[in-house]
Amino acid sequence: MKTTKKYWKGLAQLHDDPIVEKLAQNEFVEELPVDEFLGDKENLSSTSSSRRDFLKFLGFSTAAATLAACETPIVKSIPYLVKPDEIIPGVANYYASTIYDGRDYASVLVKTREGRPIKIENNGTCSNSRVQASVLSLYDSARLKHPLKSNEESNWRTVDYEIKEKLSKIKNGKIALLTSTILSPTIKQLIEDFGDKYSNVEHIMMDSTPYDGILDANLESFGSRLAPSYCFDKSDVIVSFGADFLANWMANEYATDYVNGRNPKNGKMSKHYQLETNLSLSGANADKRIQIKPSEQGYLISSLLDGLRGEKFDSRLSSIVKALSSSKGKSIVISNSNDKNIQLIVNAINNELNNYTNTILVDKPTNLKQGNTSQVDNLLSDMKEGKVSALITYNVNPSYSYNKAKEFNVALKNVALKISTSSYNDETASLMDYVCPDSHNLESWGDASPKHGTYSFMQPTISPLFDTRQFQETLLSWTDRSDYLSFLKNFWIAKGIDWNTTLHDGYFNLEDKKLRLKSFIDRSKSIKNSSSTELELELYETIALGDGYQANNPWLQELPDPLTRACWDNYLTISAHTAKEFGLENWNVSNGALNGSLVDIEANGVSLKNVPVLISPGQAKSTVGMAIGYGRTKAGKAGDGIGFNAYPFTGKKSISIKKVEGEYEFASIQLHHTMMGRDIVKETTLSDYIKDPSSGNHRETYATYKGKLTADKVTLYEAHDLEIGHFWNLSIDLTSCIGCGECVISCQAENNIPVVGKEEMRKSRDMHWMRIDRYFSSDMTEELSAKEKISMIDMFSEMEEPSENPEVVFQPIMCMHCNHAPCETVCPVAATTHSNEGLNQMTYNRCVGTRYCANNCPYKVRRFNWFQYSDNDKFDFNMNDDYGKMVLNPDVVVRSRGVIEKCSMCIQKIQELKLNAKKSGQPIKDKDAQTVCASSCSTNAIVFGDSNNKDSEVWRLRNDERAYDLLDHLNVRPSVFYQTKIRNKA
Amino acid sequence: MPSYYFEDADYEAVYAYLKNPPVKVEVLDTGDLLAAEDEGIKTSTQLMFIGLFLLLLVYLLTSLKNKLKASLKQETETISETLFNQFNLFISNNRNVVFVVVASFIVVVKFSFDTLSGVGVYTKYQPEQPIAFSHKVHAGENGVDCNYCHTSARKSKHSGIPSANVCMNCHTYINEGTITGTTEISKIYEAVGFDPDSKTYIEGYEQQPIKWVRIHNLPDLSYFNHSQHVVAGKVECQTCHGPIEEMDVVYQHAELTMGWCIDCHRTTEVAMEGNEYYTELHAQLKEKYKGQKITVDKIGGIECGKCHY
Repeated sequence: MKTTKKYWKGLAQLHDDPIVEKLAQNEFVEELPVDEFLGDKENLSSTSSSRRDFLKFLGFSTAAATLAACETPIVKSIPYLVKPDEIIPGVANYYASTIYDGRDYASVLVKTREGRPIKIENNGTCSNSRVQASVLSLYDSARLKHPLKSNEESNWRTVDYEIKEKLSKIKNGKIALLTSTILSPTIKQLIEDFGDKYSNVEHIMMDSTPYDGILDANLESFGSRLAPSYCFDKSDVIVSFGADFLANWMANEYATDYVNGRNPKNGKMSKHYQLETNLSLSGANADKRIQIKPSEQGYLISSLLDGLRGEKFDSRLSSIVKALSSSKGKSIVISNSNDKNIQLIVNAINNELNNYTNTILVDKPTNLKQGNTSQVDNLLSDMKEGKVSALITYNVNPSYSYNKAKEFNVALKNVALKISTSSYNDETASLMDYVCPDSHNLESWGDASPKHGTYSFMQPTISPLFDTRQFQETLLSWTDRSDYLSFLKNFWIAKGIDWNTTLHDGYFNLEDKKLRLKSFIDRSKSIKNSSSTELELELYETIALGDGYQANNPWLQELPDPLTRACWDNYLTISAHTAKEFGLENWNVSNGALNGSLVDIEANGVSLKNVPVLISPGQAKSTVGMAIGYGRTKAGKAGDGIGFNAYPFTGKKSISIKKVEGEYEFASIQLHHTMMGRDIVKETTLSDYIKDPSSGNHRETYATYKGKLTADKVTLYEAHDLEIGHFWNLSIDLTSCIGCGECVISCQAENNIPVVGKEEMRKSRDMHWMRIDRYFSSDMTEELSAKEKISMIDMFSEMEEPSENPEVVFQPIMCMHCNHAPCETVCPVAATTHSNEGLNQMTYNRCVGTRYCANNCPYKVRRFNWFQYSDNDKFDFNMNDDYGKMVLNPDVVVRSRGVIEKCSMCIQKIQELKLNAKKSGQPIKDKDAQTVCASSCSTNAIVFGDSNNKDSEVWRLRNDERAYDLLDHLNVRPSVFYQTKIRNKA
Repeated sequence: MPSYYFEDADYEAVYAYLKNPPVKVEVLDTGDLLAAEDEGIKTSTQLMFIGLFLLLLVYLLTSLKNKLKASLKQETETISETLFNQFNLFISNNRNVVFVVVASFIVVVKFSFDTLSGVGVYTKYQPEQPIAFSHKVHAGENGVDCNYCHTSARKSKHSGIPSANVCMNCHTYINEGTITGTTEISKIYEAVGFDPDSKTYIEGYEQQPIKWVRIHNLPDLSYFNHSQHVVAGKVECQTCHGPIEEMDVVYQHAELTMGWCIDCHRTTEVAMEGNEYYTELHAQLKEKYKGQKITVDKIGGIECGKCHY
């Protein structure tokens, strides 16, 4: 049917408007007159889009030029003109030397590469984390680069000439030489010579933490002002009243002996009692810890002496009296008190127990503390009276660490000639007329005698970086001589030493002349009980900073305190109970970081405002603790303004605190404090161990159709073939680990681990490849909750609370190099693979930063580089500084932003070890196989080796009943294993 | 007293040499010519010839077609018209278009891939050095051992460019060379501060180290240890560095890519003979890989962590 419908698009069309026809013709836009336009030169030049074109041309030509300029950079290779014989580029040289900074002493081996020291290893003595970190202090650009005169740059000629002139003009006044404890026989000789040349020279030694109590007590007891050495390995019972001998008390040499006396394989371990206020490292390792207030210490020691003499004594000491009485001649009793009377009683106790000449040797005293505070106080009064014409300081910082610093600074104005030999323009040096900067230990010649009869040499491992001069040379110059090296050589050759051999070995023994000692005289007086209810303060030193000398060392600032796990800070430690009394709190914010309340503290006229409070399990009730070594104002950019200066509180006993408004942000990297009922650290007691060596080492089993099986028998995966060649294993003995953190710094030095600063540490973005977890015990256990019918949720929330006086355990943890690694299977780009020697390898250049591996790691040991930590002004630490970069290990890559890194088990050292063996054609010797954590551990808690070698130590440890894998129920088959912790508990 | 001891025969030999020095043989620089001959005609030249030939062919065929068309009284076409029409005919068929697009896509991808793979590969890199030191003269003609100068190759990961004192061991006395005379050798003297006439070092001279241009540059992300390959692996220098003793100016002979390293690791056997380190390992590997060659990859030589750590 034909359609008669008419279709139209608009009314115009319907009405056949002529416009429709017209528009239909013009439906498509006609061609633009481009040719006309371009041909029209006049129009073209006046177009308004020339700006756009200009930008286009600019962009294009820039891009073209950049692309064209893309050339391969030319790499130049510039050899020596005359190569020193002993330097082979790429091969490290080791030199035996000594580190002594006025407080810490160690005999060390310095590893140098191409003429610069990059790592410090132990050489036969115990050392600590500050010694390990001192290699970075060498490359500190805050060090003085030239002598100063009135705080302005000067030179040695001017300074020497003026000083000598002024010194020789002094007629009536005293020339005071204020130094740290001097260990060096040559320096002592030079000081004597200095005293011969100039009249009225007085040499005063000062320790930042005074030990006059012990020294004066021994003067009365034995006739000689000394501190004895202690044989912790020969002691069956160790009783310490507040003395943190494993970390900072007296000499840093006791840890090795202490752990040697606690080897459970011998069937017996020493029994360690610690009676203290703050939770210290020694207290954490003690078998029994009793909390006391500082004011009670004297009374308790006096009571102990009474108990040993058969009289009445305080009930808290009953087990101690029993233990000591049954091990006469085989015990050590020490106290950290600086009160001579208390130390006299301690001497009487040790004499009563027959310890002298057995475990406590007064004829072999330690030389590390010789300071005399009364002499310093006398010096201060002399200065005030204007009797001191010249003051020369060496290795001391009295304007910071002397408890009368304020008076000292004022009295300095009465001293006509003020000279400092400090390496830094520190708090004292900045007030002095002349600063003659001392070179660093690693740039100096020297000698030291840490103990009577033991000596070691110091030799330079690098030419002085700056225009500094070692103190010995300065003294020589001021007595119109020069060349300390010849002086040193002649001094020792005259004593019959073979210079070359001894310099090579580093340390030696020499029969010293016997000390004139009287036989013991008991001058002790008993002390009555004077308990007070006031809040008391006990100052302590952290293991990271000690007395604060290395405050500008970012490695040490970032080392988390082994007990509080906080860094970049000091704070007032307080117990949970006392904190509640004052309304003080610690809480975690949304990103997990720890915040705390603030207080104002005041004691006898000394006060500090807005001090943060950290609740510290183990702190005695009604006491607070504070670390010295912080609050520096002239240390350098890393150390200034960190924490609060607690030195003015030295000697103050009672203290008052007041809560103030505000909150403080801590950088604490461990948020959970207890093991929550899991057996992360497997422990047992000595008596159980003797009965059954595998006690405490219970393995979880799974119920299967074949019966109960341990996880390694229920597996889907094929194992790697690890029986051929090497199989590198690392054993960590939890009984020997004291938690000192030396391994952490050692790892940081060797593997170029960056420093991230406080902000990042707060977010738990620490970059340390190994950390030392610290767990407190909790009162709540699963058995207890079952007995008392406590619900699961309540049980877990109570398990989070550590006990008032908890037991502490340390667990170093690093990449476990799992043989069924959960991280290897999830990497989308196969950046982490397994080697045929049991190592989990990390290929930084392949990593794209997915972080799936870090997520999958059950031990959370993988670290992600959130930022570029090197050459980055926002992380202005050693990797952003030309000098600081000299400490980097050239064998290890410096990682960039966006890659994961983790413990490599020192693969660079393993490869070097294998290469040397292949080149020399010899099989690998077990004692040569070392990772840096293993070689730096002073207590030999970490042992590394090839467990395919049946003669190796690590094979023996692997097959020991105490060996266990962390989280073994996951069946990841780690290559790093632990040994159960054994406590000598009754 | 001289620190050396010469026999009479030695003195006579020296005297004879001085009386009758050997005649200098002019060495023709045929290197370039030989190289050109060996290579043959370059690819681009060959392509050019082929292109010209094809164009000639097009011209001949078109003129032939035109002659035929003219004889049939049909319209003739010029060459450009022919080409244009034939081209249109070709692309009117979709299958042809698809084929051409796919083929050109493959060509473009292959070209890009090859170019990008070649980024960072500097084979034949032959930079100009500050002193025109010729390995051909020293290692080739004079037979100086590689390890005499590159001493750390046996001891450390760097093979080491010799320091100037090694050069001066000989050049204190050898002041003039055969090819460049005194110009290049005097550059050493300038760097070190040596006066060839008096044969003494100048006091207080401001020495300037020689800035060699490094040819074999591995990226920082890979670790390579010379002593491992030279001593433990017993690899000859020429295996990786090519015929150095024939090079006047050194060029990079090998690709130095990871693939090149891995290929060698897969085919080279481990030098276990006489090395006590390998005794036990050899026995175990013989068990495991019965009959196969124990190449470097079988002892873990191609694991990531061996070079990337």
